[in-house]
Amino acid sequence: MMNKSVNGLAKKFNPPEHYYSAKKQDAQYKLLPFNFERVGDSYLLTNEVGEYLFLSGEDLNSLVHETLDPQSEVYSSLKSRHVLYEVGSEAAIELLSLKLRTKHAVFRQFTSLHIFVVSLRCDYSCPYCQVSRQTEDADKYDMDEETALRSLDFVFRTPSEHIKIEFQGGEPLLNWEIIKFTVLEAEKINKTEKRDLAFVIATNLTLISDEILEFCYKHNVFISTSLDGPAHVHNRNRPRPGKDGHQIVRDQIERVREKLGPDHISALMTTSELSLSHPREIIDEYLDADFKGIFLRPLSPYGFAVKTHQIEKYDFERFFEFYQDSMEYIFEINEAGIPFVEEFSALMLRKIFLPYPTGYVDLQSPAGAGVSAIVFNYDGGVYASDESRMLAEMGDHKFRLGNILTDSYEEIFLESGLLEILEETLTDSVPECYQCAYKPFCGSEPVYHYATQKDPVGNKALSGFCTKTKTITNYLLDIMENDPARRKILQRWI
Amino acid sequence: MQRIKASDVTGSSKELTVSIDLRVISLEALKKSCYRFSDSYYYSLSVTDTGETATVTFRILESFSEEDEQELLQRFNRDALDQELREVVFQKTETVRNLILMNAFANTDLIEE
Repeated sequence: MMNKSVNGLAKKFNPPEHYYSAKKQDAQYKLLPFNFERVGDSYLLTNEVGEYLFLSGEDLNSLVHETLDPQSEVYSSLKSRHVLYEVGSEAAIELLSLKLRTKHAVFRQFTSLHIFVVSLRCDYSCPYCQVSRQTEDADKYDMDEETALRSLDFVFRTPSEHIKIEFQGGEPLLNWEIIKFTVLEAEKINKTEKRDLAFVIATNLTLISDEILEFCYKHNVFISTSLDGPAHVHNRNRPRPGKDGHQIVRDQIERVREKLGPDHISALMTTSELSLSHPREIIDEYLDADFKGIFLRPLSPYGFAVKTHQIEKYDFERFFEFYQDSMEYIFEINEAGIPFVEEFSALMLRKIFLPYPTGYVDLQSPAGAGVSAIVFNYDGGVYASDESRMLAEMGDHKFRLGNILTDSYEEIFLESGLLEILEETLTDSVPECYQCAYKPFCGSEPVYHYATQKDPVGNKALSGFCTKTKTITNYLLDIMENDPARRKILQRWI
Repeated sequence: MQRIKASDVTGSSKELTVSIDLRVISLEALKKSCYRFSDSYYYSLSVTDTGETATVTFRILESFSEEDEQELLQRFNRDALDQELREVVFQKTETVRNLILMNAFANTDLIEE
């Protein structure tokens, strides 16, 4: 016997018998907000939370002019995806609100990723370096204890239960003492704060020693490194004295795995012009190094990548060819029974198909800059994102939020102009984005658009960021809709 | 992707003009289509004194064939119709959209205890 005393959301529903007896042909519907884009011969429709479907131009026109047949299959599909609701069934509005709130839940946590740039020195001389490293002996580019301590005060001001501190450079291990100091001090503070605290060192691994590994083991520190592919690609992309970077990184990956465990090390690749001709070899390298996936990452328009004109050597079309060739090979690998993931595609798929936020800072609106991730530079400068400090090393301090040694938490967040930039660049209000079908899968990227167009909003018709999101989304949705065998592989990545 | 080059606006280029009936496509929708095409073409947009017709003039390469011109016009007209439909959707859903946003970000639980 069903309990008749219902409350909350259930109040908005009719009793079950109503739905059994309802005559569909009597339905009158109204539109819920949605956007659409022509893709080939049909239209991609997405609602406010990214539920999507493809339909014909004829059905789209009927939908908009409210002449759709309530008995048609397309009507049911549109209703189930909250593109329309029936008059008298306003619960759909509240359900959609709830879904939207869930999708934005990440912002309740505020800043969780805190990047400490402990040194700008580096032993490598990568032409595509996005952070404008300094020569190794220039120790004026190192973070000191006072700056680290002030940064930690700031870190624990975040309301987030989860705090990740990531040490970056340059090569952060060139300032190992300050990493050690910061980890120990953070743990001391956390005895009373009791947050979920995690540490990551982003390193080229050259300086990894037994002492460092022992410390990382004891304090549960994760390692992130760079592996660009086989020796002839890696060593060209990432030159160092001795030209043996590839051998070092491969040997050290094994050493780290042995001490810390296989799940404590990950690798990232950067796509140079040379990489574009070697998709299969690069993936083979990752398989050979026993990684379970790869993040196909194009160059970013910052630092030496701009200064040395590396960024101009290929456009998105060429990157997309590389991406497609790589994906083709990755599908073949999975079809042969070896699970292997392309991480950016997996992120996009999670954005499309999961009801929860992914936490991927680059694809958020409001932008994740400052509010999801924040950067403490070696000199005390506070930046809204890793890309912001990359821009600053090129002499442009547009996204510098203040200085940890002289400014308060409130001044940095409320008086730095950060909130104005986030508000100006909301995808819900900027030209093109607010009516874009890809909006739920994308984000506002003020630093990228400022770096490429000198405008945090940017002309979206000229935006490489937009092109990338749209093109890769179309590629993935095409597989999900039309290739059942490969859809199963992609579903495993979500 | 084709990008605007200096030669597109000076030297060896020609003009391609399309007239739009503003009773069919609103000026707002038309401006949005022009914005979308701004990655590849330099254009100018003007409205007649009576306000009934708008003219969009693209500056295209001298080498554009008649087929290229037809393809561009077809794409532009199709996009303008899509933009007009987007305007209709936006107008029809603006109130409910604001309601959803208000509900979603209200500083309270959505489900009553």
